[in-house]
Amino acid sequence: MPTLLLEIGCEELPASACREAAEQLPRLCLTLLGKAPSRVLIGPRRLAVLVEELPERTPDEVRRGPSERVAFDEEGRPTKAAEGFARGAGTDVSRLERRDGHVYAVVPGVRLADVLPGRLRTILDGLAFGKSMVWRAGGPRFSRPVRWLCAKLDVETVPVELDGVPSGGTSFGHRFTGGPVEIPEAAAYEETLRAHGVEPDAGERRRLIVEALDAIGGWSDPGGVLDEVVYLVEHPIVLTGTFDERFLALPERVVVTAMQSHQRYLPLGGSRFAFVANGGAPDLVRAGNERVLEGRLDDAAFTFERDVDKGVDELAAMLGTITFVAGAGSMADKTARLARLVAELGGGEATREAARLAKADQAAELVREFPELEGHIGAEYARLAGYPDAVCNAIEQQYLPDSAGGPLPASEAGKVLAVAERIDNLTVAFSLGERPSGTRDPYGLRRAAIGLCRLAMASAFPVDVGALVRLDHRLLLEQAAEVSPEPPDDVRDFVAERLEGLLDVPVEFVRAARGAGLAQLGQVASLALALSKLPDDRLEAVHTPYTRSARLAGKEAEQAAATLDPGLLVEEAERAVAEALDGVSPRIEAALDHDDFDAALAAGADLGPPLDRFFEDVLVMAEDAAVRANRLRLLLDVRDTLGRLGDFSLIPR
Amino acid sequence: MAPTFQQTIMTLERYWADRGCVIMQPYHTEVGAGTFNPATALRCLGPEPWRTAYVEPSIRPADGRYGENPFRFQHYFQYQVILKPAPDDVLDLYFGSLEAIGIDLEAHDVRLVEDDWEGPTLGAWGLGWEVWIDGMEATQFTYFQQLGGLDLELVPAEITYGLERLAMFLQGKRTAFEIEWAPGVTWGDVYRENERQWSAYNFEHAAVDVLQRRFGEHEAECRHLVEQRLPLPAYDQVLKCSHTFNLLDARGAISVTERAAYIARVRNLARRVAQLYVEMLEPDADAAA
Repeated sequence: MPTLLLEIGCEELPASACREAAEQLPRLCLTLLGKAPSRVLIGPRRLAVLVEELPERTPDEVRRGPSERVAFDEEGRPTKAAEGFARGAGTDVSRLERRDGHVYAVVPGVRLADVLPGRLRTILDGLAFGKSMVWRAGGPRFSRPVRWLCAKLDVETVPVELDGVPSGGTSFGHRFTGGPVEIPEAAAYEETLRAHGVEPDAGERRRLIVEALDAIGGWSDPGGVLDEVVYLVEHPIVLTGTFDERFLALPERVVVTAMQSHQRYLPLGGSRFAFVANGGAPDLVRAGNERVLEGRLDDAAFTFERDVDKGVDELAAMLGTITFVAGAGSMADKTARLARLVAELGGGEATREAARLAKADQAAELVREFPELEGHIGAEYARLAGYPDAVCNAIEQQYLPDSAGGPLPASEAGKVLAVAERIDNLTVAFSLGERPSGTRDPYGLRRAAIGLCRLAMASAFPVDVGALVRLDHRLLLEQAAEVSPEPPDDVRDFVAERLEGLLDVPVEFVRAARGAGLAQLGQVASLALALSKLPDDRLEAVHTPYTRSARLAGKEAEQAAATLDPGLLVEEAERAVAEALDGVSPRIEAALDHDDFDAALAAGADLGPPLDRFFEDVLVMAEDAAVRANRLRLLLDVRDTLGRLGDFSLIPR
Repeated sequence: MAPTFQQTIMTLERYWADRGCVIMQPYHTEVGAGTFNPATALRCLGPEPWRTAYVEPSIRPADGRYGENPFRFQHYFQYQVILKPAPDDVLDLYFGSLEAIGIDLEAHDVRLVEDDWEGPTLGAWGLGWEVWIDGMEATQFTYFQQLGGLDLELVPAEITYGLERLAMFLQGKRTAFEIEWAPGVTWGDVYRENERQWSAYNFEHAAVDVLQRRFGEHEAECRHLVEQRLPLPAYDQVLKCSHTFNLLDARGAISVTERAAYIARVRNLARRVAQLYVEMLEPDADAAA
């Protein structure tokens, strides 16, 4: 059985498009050719598949038609619908099969050779790229222009039509050294290209690169640029270079970022680096790359020295001229708010110092060149100015966590500053009416809120979002910011709602915990976890008394007495509930004070037995209005006491 | 002997003239890039084929460093080429230009690295690459897809060479100041003092209140000229808005949120001008009006 080659020759494809094609091609081949490719060969200038033992015919296709009732009339004769379906499937109505109440047609496969050009074109059309373009108005869309097509069925050339793109048995070798290459037969594709300076297999290119890097030793790739480099070259040559040691005085991450995100180099430690070229004379190419990197580092060093000459304190003093957000003052105003917030959060001297310097690097020129290093650069400048490690580390960690699973600040001071930073961002945006809606979240507020939840759960200090937002809003008003006069009290709910996606527990427990009225975000999370871990019988023991009292007394709440009058408790069973309440309520409060939700829930469960008896023995809606009002109050007190442990009505039973 | 700066420019002019390009001259008002020159931004609209090449001074007030940093300038040069529609061998034509200015493509590592271009103030975008030569970004290559918010009737290829970088590469210089412009005259001789004085103006002396007022005036004038069906002068007002915005930005007078609003205002103007320009290209446009 024959081997098929399809090669789509392109102008240089982005790495992301290469990955998309590598993922989609096997399925497209299986669907359209009836066979998955044995080789998927992806590079910047070509997307190729080799399908070995290509079937002679395409597989038969079974098509489902109308239901039997529609397909046949009462006398069992085929209807127009059945005839139409059979015609559409290219078969006769007498050959329709019946099963599961439907009719089916088998569309026989065809000789693949007859339909191959069309099928290959359909594979091309089937590739979907996240970003695509046209290179001729009204022409096909692809990631980058397609410049040639090469398809072979063994030695036979298969023509493929695509908007006049040349198609035949010719491929192209390396862009500058290869030229046109005749592919004699499909199976010879890989070796033919290798002879013309192209390694077509991305896996093999990666292996070659890693092998060469390992031979050099000591390489690292913190930014993961290798995944892109594999798709930037067809003929990988790993070279090393060096830069002047004076650049080692720059913050290390500045040097690494210049190497990795700007140049796609691999740091070798010290002043050495490796890079992957696609050809050229090694000495020339090395010298050119060294000069480029030194130029970048020279530029960074120039900027760095200007910043350091000013020093972190002078940079901090410049923040008054930098707008934070229109309507919410300058970076200096923000700094003042952060300082007040960290004090409120109980931050010590180091934290307050870190807050004062946290935004200094926003005035640094180097941050404009390396925006991804904000925080880090500020920390380096503080370190150079002689500030203690605790201060520098907190500055460095203020933007953590910076992704869903990203690490949290390691130090408590860092956590405090990170919390204050997020509280302020949320308060400012909400106070300016910039609430996220639908997919619109230009300030990344959802991410900020998720970060806040994670920080609160991991911190020893309490995070009372509602109180902090009110304080921050008051500070904004004092700074004459153009914000809403009322504090944005919905921040608290917006943040707590993130726990629903963040905690690995059913959402009803999070919703119930949010209904407990706990001030501290970390407590809401702990309570939700405690509720979710509660065995069924123990949950039942608080859930039932809560929901029964809430259901009965909640409806009649306006009839209830304002406070409980012990003198009006006439029945033994109602006195027992009141007594139990007197004992349980302080136990719950004490347990909550220690964040001991398990103990609090255990205490709450003690209301269950007396309440069961109450509902058996006592008629709540007594004829005497005063007695009735008092009993309703008693039940409301039970509900509110247990309500400190969550809104159990939100947990369906 | 490595070519001087002016020789490289002359070689590019000759190369692209030989390939049917109209050799234009820099535009008469400040632009941040050769793309903004109407020879690109407007001529790429509509159904008429067009090939041009020209030097364009790129004016970017915020990038100045008083002539102290040899890698940052508020004024430098691009060489801009437009081939509309893009021929199938457009990349080969481009590589040929590199050979013409003296780059041996087999001896160096020339690569195309994904870079998608977006010009938010022009309502424009395209897909293409940075061209790296031994790791140095030497050219931006873009297949325009939209300009002024309009899909393009012919897809142009835009080739933008960074002239200083190319010259540094060809002459083996480490900084732009050292580039030999003409025999015995360096780039620094010609432009260093210029950088110092303009940086002082851009960062310290440009009057913010005046600039803010002018922005509004240019905007109003653009709208007026669009109403008068004069897209070419109207487009100059778009450029003046854009440059005024860049100066305000250099003065630190634009916050992050205001930035988006300013850009949207310029883009709206560019869009209206582009629509009018295309409308007037159609036969009998003025009879219909």
